[in-house]
Amino acid sequence: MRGQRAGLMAWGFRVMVVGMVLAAPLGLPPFYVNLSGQVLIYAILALSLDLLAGVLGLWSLGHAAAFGVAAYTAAFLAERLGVSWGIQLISGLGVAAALGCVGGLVVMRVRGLYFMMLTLGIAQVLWALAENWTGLTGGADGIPGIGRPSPFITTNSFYVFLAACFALNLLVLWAIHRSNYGLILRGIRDNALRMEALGVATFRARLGAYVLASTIGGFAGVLFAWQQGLVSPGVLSVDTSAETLLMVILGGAGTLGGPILGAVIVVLLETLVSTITARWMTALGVCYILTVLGAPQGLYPVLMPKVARVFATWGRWFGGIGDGKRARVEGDSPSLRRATHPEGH
Amino acid sequence: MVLEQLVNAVSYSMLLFLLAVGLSVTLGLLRVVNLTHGSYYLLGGYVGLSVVRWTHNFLLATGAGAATTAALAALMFWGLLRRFLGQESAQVLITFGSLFIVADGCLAIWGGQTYTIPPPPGLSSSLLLAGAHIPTYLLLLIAVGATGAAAVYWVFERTRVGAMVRAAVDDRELAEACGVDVRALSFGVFTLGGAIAGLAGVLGGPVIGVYPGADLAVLLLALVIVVVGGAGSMLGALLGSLVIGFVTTYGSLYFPEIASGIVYLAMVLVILFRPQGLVPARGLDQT
Repeated sequence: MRGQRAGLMAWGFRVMVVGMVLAAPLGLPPFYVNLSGQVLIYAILALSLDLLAGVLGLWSLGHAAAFGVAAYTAAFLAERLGVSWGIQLISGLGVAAALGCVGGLVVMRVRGLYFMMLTLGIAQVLWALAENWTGLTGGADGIPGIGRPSPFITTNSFYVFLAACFALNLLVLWAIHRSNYGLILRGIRDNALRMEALGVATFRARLGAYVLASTIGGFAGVLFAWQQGLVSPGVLSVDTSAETLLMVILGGAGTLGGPILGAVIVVLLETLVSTITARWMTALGVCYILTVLGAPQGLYPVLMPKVARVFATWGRWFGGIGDGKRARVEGDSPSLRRATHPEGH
Repeated sequence: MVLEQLVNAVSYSMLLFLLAVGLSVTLGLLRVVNLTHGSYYLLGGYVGLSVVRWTHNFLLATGAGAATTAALAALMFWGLLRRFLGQESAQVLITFGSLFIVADGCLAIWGGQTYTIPPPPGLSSSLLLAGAHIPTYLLLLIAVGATGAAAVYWVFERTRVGAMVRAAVDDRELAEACGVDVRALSFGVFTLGGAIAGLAGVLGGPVIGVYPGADLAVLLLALVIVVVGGAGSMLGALLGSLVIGFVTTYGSLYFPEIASGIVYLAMVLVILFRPQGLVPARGLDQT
């Protein structure tokens, strides 16, 4: 009974912290509220990519495909047909899921570099279509004039909407990470043959993960279309894909906090440093390299135990919420991975 | 018209081969996806441009371009990548970070314009051949590319060092056990690959030009070629370059709407039907 209550309080504590962090930008000027919204959108995108890159160990260099296709779908429906935002959202998710289904059947046949290149190839073909099929996509100019979902027009209210979407997404991904399915995916990453021998339909599991990642990526795409009000071929470009992958790796693949942290760092560095100096690309590059030297597994696995220790201390002050020993990083440790997978891939 | 297109396609293929060969061998030997490879092209091209402007000597420019990128590649390998062999995510961060830094450095020094390097004097005209105007520079490109390909092929297939590299690509541990110094070999191959890509930057300067963003464009092309041809295989790089060179040239002629995507379409088809590439190197498991 006591344990249940402590668990409930720990949950309350977590929700409070997340809510406070999400609400904090509302006190800032509109520019920063928009920027925070952008961070949230990219965090959703990075989290969805992490289902492939971190949980399943497949480095996709074409995640912009799902993002961009959903963004274009929403933009097209909003601008050309003027349908309501609910239909835009559902259509965007549907198209992204369909792309994940069809694309997944293709790309899940290969691994490693070849997976990277196939995903890149699909995204690049779509990008070329967006650039050149002017009748449908507006060509290089893209589709402008997309409205935001109706009650969330102002900067602050739309940010609240984004924050709610982000929280929902975080909850879904947390559930996936914790579920048997998440465990199966990690098992496939570490030793597919063993999982197969255990009777897991590995292809179906991997295909499911791809569809899921694609759908959530599409969710981020629809949100992006609404936030920007404009969708141009850039959303499908390799820059978007690479940037998202870098967020995941920088923050720490295979964790929930990592991709979020990565999105925060990359978006803030790009936007804020570029207002200070024209050499923001150098800053970003140096940041990547320093991260590798200091934290080869990403920043989150390094920072998390330290932050958790602080929170555990606070928790003890506030009456036994949280427990230092339980503060662990979701995902895995490299030594564990080596132990379970001595072949060393 | 037919001959002109053919010369275009072949000369472009040769340039692509010079670009991709280093990437292919480092990938086969080190299992490193070097995302900085396109930056060698960019840096080589810019250095070549400056040298041509100062000295009006194209040959010197190619040497300077190749030397600069060789130094950069050596520095990257010795300073950073050597410690992260086998760690894919760390390599992606390092090589992408380096791409950013080199691109930004070039932008700071040479600015944002598109430059074309003037071809060497005497090679800026065109030749009337069977009723077709063939730029003589493209013929030089074909000659250099073919010679380079032959030289690389000879070193790779016929010399002791080449045999050592092939052995290390096929089975690194066994090669090490036989007394091959794979680390020194890797360093050499990585540096040489960088030098050849820098050379390609100078040689490609009069045709493709050097501009911000060329690094990424060229990197993607090189990656496509490596995947189409098969990583770690010399013949594969050559074949992949020819396929991509011809697909690009004739694709933009007949399907201009999807010209920028047709290369990737070709790659997707190749991966679907031959997942290990057209000419796979033995010992690499990709599927």
